[in-house]
Amino acid sequence: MMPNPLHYYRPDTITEARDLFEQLQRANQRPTYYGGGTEILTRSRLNDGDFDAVIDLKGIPELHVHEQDGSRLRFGSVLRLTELADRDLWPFLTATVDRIADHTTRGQITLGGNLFSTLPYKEALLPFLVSDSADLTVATPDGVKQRRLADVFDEELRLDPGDFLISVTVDGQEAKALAFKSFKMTRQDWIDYPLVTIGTARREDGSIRAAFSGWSSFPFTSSRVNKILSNTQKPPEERAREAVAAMPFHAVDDIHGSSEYRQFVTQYTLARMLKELEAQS
Amino acid sequence: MKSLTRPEQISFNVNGEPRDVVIYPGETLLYTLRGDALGLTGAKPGCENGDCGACTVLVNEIPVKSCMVLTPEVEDQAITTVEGLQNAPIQQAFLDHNAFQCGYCTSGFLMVGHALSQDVDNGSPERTVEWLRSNICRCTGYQEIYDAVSSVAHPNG
Ligand SMILES: Cc1cc2nc3c(=O)[nH]c(=O)nc-3n(C[C@H](O)[C@H](O)[C@H](O)COP(=O)(O)OP(=O)(O)OC[C@H]3O[C@@H](n4cnc5c(N)ncnc54)[C@H](O)[C@@H]3O)c2cc1C
Ligand code: FES
Ligand code: FES
Repeated sequence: MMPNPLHYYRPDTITEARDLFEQLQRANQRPTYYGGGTEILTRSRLNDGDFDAVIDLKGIPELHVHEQDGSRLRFGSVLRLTELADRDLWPFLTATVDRIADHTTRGQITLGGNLFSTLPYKEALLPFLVSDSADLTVATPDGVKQRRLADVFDEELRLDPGDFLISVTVDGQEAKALAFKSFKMTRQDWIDYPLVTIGTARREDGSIRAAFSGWSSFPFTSSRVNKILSNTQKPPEERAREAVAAMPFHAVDDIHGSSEYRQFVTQYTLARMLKELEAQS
Repeated sequence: MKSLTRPEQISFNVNGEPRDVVIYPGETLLYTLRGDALGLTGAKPGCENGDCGACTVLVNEIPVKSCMVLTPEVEDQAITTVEGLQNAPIQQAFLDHNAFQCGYCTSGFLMVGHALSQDVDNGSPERTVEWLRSNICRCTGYQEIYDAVSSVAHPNG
């Protein structure tokens, strides 16, 4: 049990953190932002991290914001997953994050750390992916900027090097109007990485959207799949079968399950979710 | 801004006492607690990967896996380890329910059970199950552990 060979910094302001990142880079260090540290410390222990300095963001007050801010719900990036669930400002987000890891670990994992995880899952992204109004508040060299989530999401949330997430917002009306279901399917144990995690939402106009984690090496939503799921002329089982056949990526084959098994589980889970969503309305 | 780039002294409160310890910047709380300066070996290294919960301690009354926390993060905060439990009801409950075999996981489970016992108003069987899922017992004495924790976490059923 050797200490990780890391330098530790805990800035008090957004500017301090952003400037520090560049200063450390200029000094030939390899900084990384640090939220809950559950992934960084695991990687560091396995010598799998390209970093030698951590910038702990938890000292910055703006990153702890957790409120209805005018018409928007705002979630600071260092909020722990248990804080999100306890406050339950957006039940769809609660239902999704409450199935990540275990309770003690959820008290350590931060929202920002999950959204920017280097692992394939990033399950906290799913509710934001199915909403139209998700925005990111980002620290950049030119100050604090707003970015539409849809504009920076390309298999992952892509920020410029050195930029970091301050908070995520969604429109409160949109969030409230989404009827939702969030299901995580694991191979065997309740606590595990997902075989597939699915977030589905039914919008006010009756259309359905779904976002998936675990199916491929990144979370995604697909307009083609959403269109199939929204065709209520067909029974849920048929839509689920067609949706799985129309997925834009191949289902991964890994230790959690074979590609075929993933497809099978996704299909029956989707069918069940559609039935429950439609029964709800 | 706090910065630690070499071994340095930091302060926190451990089991109700203020303590000053010299730490490396990248040291985990588990490492610091078990080191010579504090010698609190109740928190156990198991997986050191966040999976087993043998290293669980309380930080400001909340269970955390101490292998997944850097010690500088908990500067000036209140840490409770199993050594800090003095005649806590959870300890008697473990004895009454024979809730340990080899004992390696016990301190971690005790800390989760103790945290639950401090919030009985919100206690329920579901909550107990959910919190206990954070810890692994290789001897598989889960039923006895659940019974012991339930008796202090939701004593009225
Ligand atoms: C026991 C256990 C079970 C787990 N189970 C799951 C699971 O079921 N599902 C799942 O998805 N993951 C799971 N994980 C993986 C994991 O911990 C996640 O990757 C977690 O979300 C990381 O969050 P963190 O706050 O600890 O991040 P950190 O380790 O602090 O950081 C993770 C990454 O995010 C970056 N980052 C952090 N904050 C910001 C920010 N504000 N802006 C920009 N970048 C940032 C960091 O630089 C780093 O690259 C599990 C981990 C453990 C230990
Ligand atoms: S040693 Fe910390 S969780 Fe296993
Ligand atoms: S009593 Fe042996 S690991 Fe739990």
